[in-house]
Amino acid sequence: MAAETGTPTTLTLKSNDDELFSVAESAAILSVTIRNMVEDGCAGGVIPLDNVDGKTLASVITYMNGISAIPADEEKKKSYRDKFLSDKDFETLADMVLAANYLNMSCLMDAVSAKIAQVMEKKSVGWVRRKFGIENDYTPEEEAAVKEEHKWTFEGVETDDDN
Amino acid sequence: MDKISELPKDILQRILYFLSQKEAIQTSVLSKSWRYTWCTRLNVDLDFSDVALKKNKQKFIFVVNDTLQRYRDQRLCVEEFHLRISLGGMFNDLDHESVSLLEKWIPLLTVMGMKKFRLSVRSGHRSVKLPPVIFGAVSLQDLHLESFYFDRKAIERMVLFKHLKSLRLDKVCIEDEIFDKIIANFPLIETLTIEECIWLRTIKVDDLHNLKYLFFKMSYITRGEEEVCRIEIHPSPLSLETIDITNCNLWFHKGADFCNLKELSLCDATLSLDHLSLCKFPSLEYLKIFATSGEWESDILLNFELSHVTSSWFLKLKVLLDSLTDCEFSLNLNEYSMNGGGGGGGGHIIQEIINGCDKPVVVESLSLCCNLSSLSYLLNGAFCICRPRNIDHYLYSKWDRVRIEFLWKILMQRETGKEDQFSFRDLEEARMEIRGINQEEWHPISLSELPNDQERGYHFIRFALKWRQTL
Repeated sequence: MAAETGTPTTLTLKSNDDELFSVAESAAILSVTIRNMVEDGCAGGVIPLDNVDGKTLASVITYMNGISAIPADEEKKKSYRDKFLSDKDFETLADMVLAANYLNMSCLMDAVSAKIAQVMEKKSVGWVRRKFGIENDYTPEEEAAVKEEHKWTFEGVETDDDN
Repeated sequence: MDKISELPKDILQRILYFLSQKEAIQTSVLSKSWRYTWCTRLNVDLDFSDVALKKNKQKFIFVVNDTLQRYRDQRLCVEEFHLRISLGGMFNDLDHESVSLLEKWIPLLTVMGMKKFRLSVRSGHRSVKLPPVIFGAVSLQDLHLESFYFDRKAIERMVLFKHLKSLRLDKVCIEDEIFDKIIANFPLIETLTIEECIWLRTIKVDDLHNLKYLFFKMSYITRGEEEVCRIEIHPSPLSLETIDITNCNLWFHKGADFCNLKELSLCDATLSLDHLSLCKFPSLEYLKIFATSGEWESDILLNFELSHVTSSWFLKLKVLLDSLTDCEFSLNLNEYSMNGGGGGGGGHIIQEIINGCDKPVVVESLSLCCNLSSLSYLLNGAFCICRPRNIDHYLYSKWDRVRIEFLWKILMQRETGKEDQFSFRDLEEARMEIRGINQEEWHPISLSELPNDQERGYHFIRFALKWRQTL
C-alpha cells in the first residue's frame, strides 16, 4: 500500500453514470467498502460503484480529500464536516447518506444523518410533512388513534415551525 | 413516495438516533410507513423529569415498560439506553421501590444486547444506593452512572466485563475498596472519567493496560474538607494518550515513558516537577499546567516564590523543557508574591545556569508575571535555558506602561555588555509589536507611539525576538 512504497497510490472510481474519478488511496480507504476491495487486491483497474451517481461521488470525494487532510483532531474534523454539509439541500443530503451507507463510511453517514435530524428537531408533525413532502395516508381517525397511543410525547411540547 | 420515506430502514434508524425520544416517537404520526420506524432506532432515552411524565410515576413506568416491550416483540436491539429518574424528597418523585424496577429492566436490556447504559438520578443528595443488578449487565461496553451511592451491596453480583471500554462516574459516593473491585473487573477499559466523586482517596491505574483517556475532575465545593484524591499511574503507561486532571494529587513512576501521550493537562494537580521532568513525553502535543492561584491559563504555567528560583530551579526547568523539544509551547512564569520581594541572584547565578545546561530550547512565547525588580533576573535566567520567539501577548491594560518601558529598556539596551546580561548575547533583534483586540496581524511600534490611556485595553503588546543561529 501507499505508506509502504512511499509513492501515493491513486485509485480510479467509476460512478453508475460512467464518470471516472481519481482519488488518492489514502483518502479513498475512508470507505470500508473500497478498503476491502483494495485489501482483496481488486483495486488494480477501475472500481465500479454501481449505487452512486457522478454528482454525489464528486461530492463524496471532496469530503474524503478534505477530511483526510486534517490530522487527528476530532474538533477540527467536526467543524470541517459541519462546514461541508452546511450548504447542502435535502435532496443532496439524501443522496449522500445513501452513498455513505453503500460505501460504508460511518463518519459521513453519522454527520449527514445528524444533519437531517437537525432539520426535524423541535418541529411539528405538519411542518415535517410539508418540508419533506411526506404524504399523510392516515384517515383522520387513524391519525387521532396513533396520536392518542403516544399522547405523552405531544404534551408540553413547543414547536418552532417558523424558523 | 417522497425521498425521505424511501430511505432504507437502517438509514432512517440512524437519522432518528439523533432525535430526542419524544421527537422520534412523534414521527409515527407522519404517515403509515413511519408508524413503527421510531422503535427500530438503537437508542432509548427516557427522562422522568420530562414535563409530560413528571409527577406521574405510573405513567413513567408504563412508558418504559411499553417501549421495552415493543423492542422485545420485534426482537430488536436496544444498544443504548439512557434512563433519568428523580428520587427523594419531592412529593411526586419516584420512590425507592420504583428503583427496584431496574432489577427487571436491566436483565431484559442485557438480553436485548444493550451496549451503552447511562443511569442518572436526580435526588439532590447522593443517597440512592446503586442497584446491584447493574454490575451484572455483562454485555455493556459503555457505562455512565450519575449521582449514586455505591455500597458493598452494589458490587455483590459483580461479574467480569470483557467488553467494557468506557466507564464514567459522575457525582457518586464511592470508597477506594469498592472502586478497586469495580476497576479490577473492567480490565479492557480505554476511557475512565471520574467527575465530582466523593470519598475516593486513591485511584490506581496500574492494571489498566488499555487505558487511553484518563479524566478526573473535582471542584473545591464538592471536595470541601475532604482529602485530595491521589492518582497513581503505572510505570509503563504505554496506552495513555490523554491525561486531563483537575484538583488531585498525581503520582508517576520516576522515569516513566509516556510514549503515546498526546495531551497532558494538569489543573491544580500537585506533583513534583523534577519527578515530571524525569519522565519522557515523546509524543506530547499539548501540555497545560495550570493553578488557580495564578492569574492566567496557558500552556505551561509555573508559579514560584522568588526565593526558590535558584540556578538549580532553572536547570530543572530546562530538563522539563528538553523533554518537550518537539512541541510548540508557551512558557509562563508567575511570581507568587507580587508585593515587595525582588532582586534575585546576580551574575554568578546566571553563569551557573549557563555552565549547567547545553542548547537552549525554542519556545513559542514567554510570559513573565513578576515584580519589576525581579524582571531582569528572571529574563536572564529564562534566556539561558530557552529561546522564546516572543515575550508576552497580554492585553495592554494588564501591563502598565512602566512595565513595558522597563522591558523595552532591558531588551533594547542590552548592548551595554553588563555581566549579568550575558544570556542576551545571542539576541540579534528585539522588536515591540502591537495588535488590536480583533486583529490578527501584528505591527511594529515604538515606545512613543503606544496608545494612550483610553485605548490601551483594546490592544495586545508583545516583543518579537530574533536569535542568532549560533548553536
